[in-house]
This record gives sequence, structure tokens and C-alpha cells, in this order.
Amino acid sequence: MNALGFELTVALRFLREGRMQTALIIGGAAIGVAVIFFITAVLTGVQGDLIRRVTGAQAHIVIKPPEEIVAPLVAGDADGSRLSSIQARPQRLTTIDGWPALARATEATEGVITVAPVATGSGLGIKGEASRSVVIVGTELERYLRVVKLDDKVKSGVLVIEPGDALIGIELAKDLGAVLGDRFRVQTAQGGSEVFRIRALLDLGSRELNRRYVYTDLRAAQSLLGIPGRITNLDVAVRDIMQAEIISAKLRAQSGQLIESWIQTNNQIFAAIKNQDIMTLLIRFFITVVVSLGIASVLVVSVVQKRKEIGILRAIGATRRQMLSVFLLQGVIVGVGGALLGSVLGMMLVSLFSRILRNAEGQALFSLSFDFRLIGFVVAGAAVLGLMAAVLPARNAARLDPAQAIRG
Amino acid sequence: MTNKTTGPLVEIRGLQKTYNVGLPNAEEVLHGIDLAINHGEFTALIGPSGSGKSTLLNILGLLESASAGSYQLGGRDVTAFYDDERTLARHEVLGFIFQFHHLLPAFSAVENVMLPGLMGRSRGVLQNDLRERAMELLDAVGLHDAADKKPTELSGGMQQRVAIARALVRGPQLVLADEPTGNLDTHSSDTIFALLRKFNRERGTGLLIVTHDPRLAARCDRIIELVDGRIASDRPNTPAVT
Repeated sequence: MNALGFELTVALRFLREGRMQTALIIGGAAIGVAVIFFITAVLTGVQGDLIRRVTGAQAHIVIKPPEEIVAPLVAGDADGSRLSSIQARPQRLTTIDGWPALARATEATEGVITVAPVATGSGLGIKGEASRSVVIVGTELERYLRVVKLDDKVKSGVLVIEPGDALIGIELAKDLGAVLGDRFRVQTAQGGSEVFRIRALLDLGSRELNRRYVYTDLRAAQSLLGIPGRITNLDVAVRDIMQAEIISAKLRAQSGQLIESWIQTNNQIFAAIKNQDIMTLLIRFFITVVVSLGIASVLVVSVVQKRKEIGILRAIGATRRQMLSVFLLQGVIVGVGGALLGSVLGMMLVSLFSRILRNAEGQALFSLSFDFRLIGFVVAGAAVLGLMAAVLPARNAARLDPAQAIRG
Repeated sequence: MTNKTTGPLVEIRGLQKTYNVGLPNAEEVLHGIDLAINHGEFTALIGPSGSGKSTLLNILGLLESASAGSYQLGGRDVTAFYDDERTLARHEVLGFIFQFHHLLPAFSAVENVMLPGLMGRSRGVLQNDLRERAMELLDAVGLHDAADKKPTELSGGMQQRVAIARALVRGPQLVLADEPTGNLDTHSSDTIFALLRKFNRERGTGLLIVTHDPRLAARCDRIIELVDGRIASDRPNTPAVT
């Protein structure tokens, strides 16, 4: 008992003496921590799945040329004394001027991982009798794969685009009656026409995308769309997708291009995710409060039960500060013990439910990952919490008048 | 506080204690007490219930402070000490034995004896030495074999003997004992008393024993009688052969 120091020794002994109370409150704290652990894992999993699904084949941020506007010949007046009707201009296929410089500048922006040049436009996919309108996406595949993860969307075939190759959505293949290795023709309004061989069938996560998307190389798309050497979009990948809007604002300030983040294009879903975050934050907050109150109330009772012992310790030379420390330490020990046990319990819950909760494809919604930073954070947080919960009872203990306490 | 100067160890003058000061139920329990206790004195403090014995003992033990009067302990004026200073003085000069032994049930006998030495202010006492010293004291009170037992496994008399060892572990100059044999049978009482006597003779430890037991008081060197908050008599006593 010598090595630990007086305060810690007494704190541990007091906790051990109140076996039942200690076990109950550590259990309570553990359940609280486990639930927090669990809902965090579930939320991360569900949101990740949702975002993957929604963004599908979308880049985090897309840089496009500004829309063409019409300069009115006569301006309308605010008081309506002069009426003017402005007909919106039909939007041509426009391209980004000086895109290599813009790509470099964008890539140098804080939070951006990489960019990929894209030439995209609409066309007609034709095979035999069948023709379907398609979206042509021409890009440098290697770069593009770092922006949009097509790897896990391949249903069959390989992710390779050599000249004359295309990767197409599974629905489109079905509509055209084509299988892997078949050839089909793509025509555009700009007068381009080319034959592609299907190298891979992709499931992009939604039916709409699956029946329209044709990925090919940049050069082929450029010539199909009649914009040789130029691109229509720069697709951007960012490190933290929740920061996409902030990074977009930065990019907007640097260039005159039209910049859209996935958050903008999926406003409602993003709002839902945010609301979910706030709800779980509230739940976590209240669990924390309840656990703290539990620790505090057990310690308050313990101080009352140990009145006499506190009095004796004070009589034989323990200072107020030492008595304060004894009870503060009990709070910390209970908090840390609960957090460690709760982390184990939480991981067990996660691993159990990861087998039960599945997404539409039957894959696990979340997986058990040993996030030691999270555990460390939870334990440190619980220590602080236990300390705070113990302040009131510890002060009661320190203030006890030893003469009265001994008298009973 | 090792200054065993010429003056008395304890010297109080005009000591008053009033509870509930300023309230309608204010009650003065000690009315101006003058008292001096020398180093190594073996004194009994007697008097009827409610005479203020325990209050006086608590004030002498620095567990309570006086409402008026002065208190010199070991040549230092401790009257106006703050709680921390009083705790330290208590820790260094005084030992306590209570009526109901008051051992900590979570600690074994030897750990209870060690406790006062563990509070981190033991000058130059290494923790290993502390355990040794605690064992020696348990030996001296005849409880060598009970060192690792919990208080609940010991009889009342044995618990009180552990409490004596605890009171002595830091070598106090004065041990304050509140009815140390109050709830023990005659045989155990005699054992306890004999131990206190032994430590008094061998180590020169002063003792102030509050007791109701005239048999016990008659065996002390000095008897102070307190009645209604005043010293009614204070006389030397020659103990009969024990």
C-alpha cells in the first residue's frame, strides 16, 4: 500500500469497501459509454453508407464553366414602368479556359486531395435496333479513380480504358442488349460518332445513373463532343467531405468558374445528416449528464456513510486537501473504470450488430474498428467527468468537522 | 516541535467555549479554564456527563477551537491557527485514542497503525521503516500475529490495542484518550491501561485520559475534575500498586 501514496490508497480502499455501490456505478458508467460507443459506430456507418449511395459516381466538388447569360438590350425598371422579357439563352456545351493552370491551383488548395479533368456531354448509345440517350464521361481513368471510387462499383470486367474502350452502367447494357466485350456506337449532336468496346459493367448505386453513364477516355470524349483539347469539368476530391462546402467557397473566391459541391447538389440529404448529428449529440450529452449524476450521487452517499472514517483520518493528521483528493480520485477511478469497461462492451455491441444491421446490398453497415484514439478520448473524457462529478461530494468530505464526525 | 523547553507542553488560559454563538440557543460549556500539562504527565480528566470533558479534550486536540482564551502547545501559540496548521500540529505532536476504537475497516491492523505515517509529511521516515515501526508497536501491544487481520476480525480489546499502536506510531508527545476502556470488560480494560502505563514509562509519552471509571482514575498520577465547565479540583495522585 506504500507505493501508491496516501490519497490513492485510501480512495481505492474506500471503493473496494463499498463493493456493491462501486460495481453498480461502474456498471452504469460502462453502459453509458457503451451506448455512446455504439450509436457513434452505427451513425458513422449509416451516414457513410447514405453518402456513398447519394454521391455515387459524383465528385465531391465539380468545377464548371460559368453559365452563359444574356445581356438585356433594355433594362427593366423596378417600378414596372417599363416591361422587358428576357429569354434565357440555350446553354451550349461550354469549356473551361486554361484548365491545366486551374487544375494546378485547385490541387494546391488546402483540403483538396486531387483533381481530374473531365469532358462530359450527352449523346446517343446505339446497338442494333436499340438506342438510348447517354451521358458521356471522358477522363483520364487513373486520375479519375482517385476522385470517384469506381473500384467497388465494378460488377464485371476490369477497370481499364484503352483507346476505343468504354465502361458502362449495368442498366444501359441491359437496355442495349449488350454484354461484356460487345461493341456499341455513340453519336452526339455535335456530329461525332464512335464505336466502343465494353470493358466493364458498373453499378453506380442508382438506376438513373446505371442506365445513362458511359465512361471513356478523355480524348475520345473530346472528339465526340467536338471540343478537342478542352474539358467541361474539373472533378475534385477533398479529404473531409463534410468540409466540401467550405472548400468550395475558397475555390469560388479564387476562380471565376461555377463551383458545385456535393452538399449543394444534395441539399436535403445533407440537412438530414446534420439533423441526425445534432440528435445524436443531444443523446450523447444527456447520457453523459446521467452518468455524471450517478457518479456524484453515489459519492455523496459514500461521504455520508464514511463520516466517521473521514473524521478519524482528519484527527490523525489528514488535511482537508487530502480528504478532497481522496474523493476526487474516487470519481476519476470510477469514470475511467466505467469507460474502459464500456469501451469493451461497446465493441462487443458493435461486432454483434454489425452482423445484424445490413445495407440494401447485404453488406455490413459498419465494421468493428479498434479506434484507440476514440478509446483514449473516451477514457480521458470520463476521467474529467468523474472528477467534475466528484467535486461536490469531495468538498463535503473536506468540510466535515472532524470533532462532529467522530462524535457521530 | 521537538523543543522540550522548560515550559509545560500544554498551557491554556481563560479558555471558554460557546456553541451556537450569536443564536438564541447559545450555550457556554467551558467557563474560563486555566490548565497546564507537563511533558510525560499521566493525567485523568474526570467529571459527570455534560461537564465539558469531551469539549475540552477536542480543543486540546485541536479538533475544535476555543471561543475565548489562549492555548500554547509545545511553546507555540496555536489559538488562532488555521485548519491546515492545526492539522499539522495535531499530526506532529498529538495522538488520539477514541472510545469506540475507530479503526478504518478497509485497512488491516498493521495498515491502520501505519496510516498516520502515510500522510506524506513524515520527515525522513521511509515507508519500509514505517511498516517496521508499526510491526514493533503491534508487537508491543501483543498483536504481532493479528497484523494482517481486518479490524472486524478482532475483539473489542484487540481493536483498542491496535488503536493505541496507531496513536503512538509517530511518537507523539501527548496522547489524548477519550474513554479508552469505556466499552471493554474489566480484564481488557486492565490490559489497555497497563499498556498506556508502559508507553508512558518507557517512552515518556504524556497521556490525558478522559474517564468515568474511578478505578482507572485512581491509577493515574494526576486527577483533574471538571464540573459544569469549570475545574472543580486538580490534584496529584499516588497510584496504588497496580
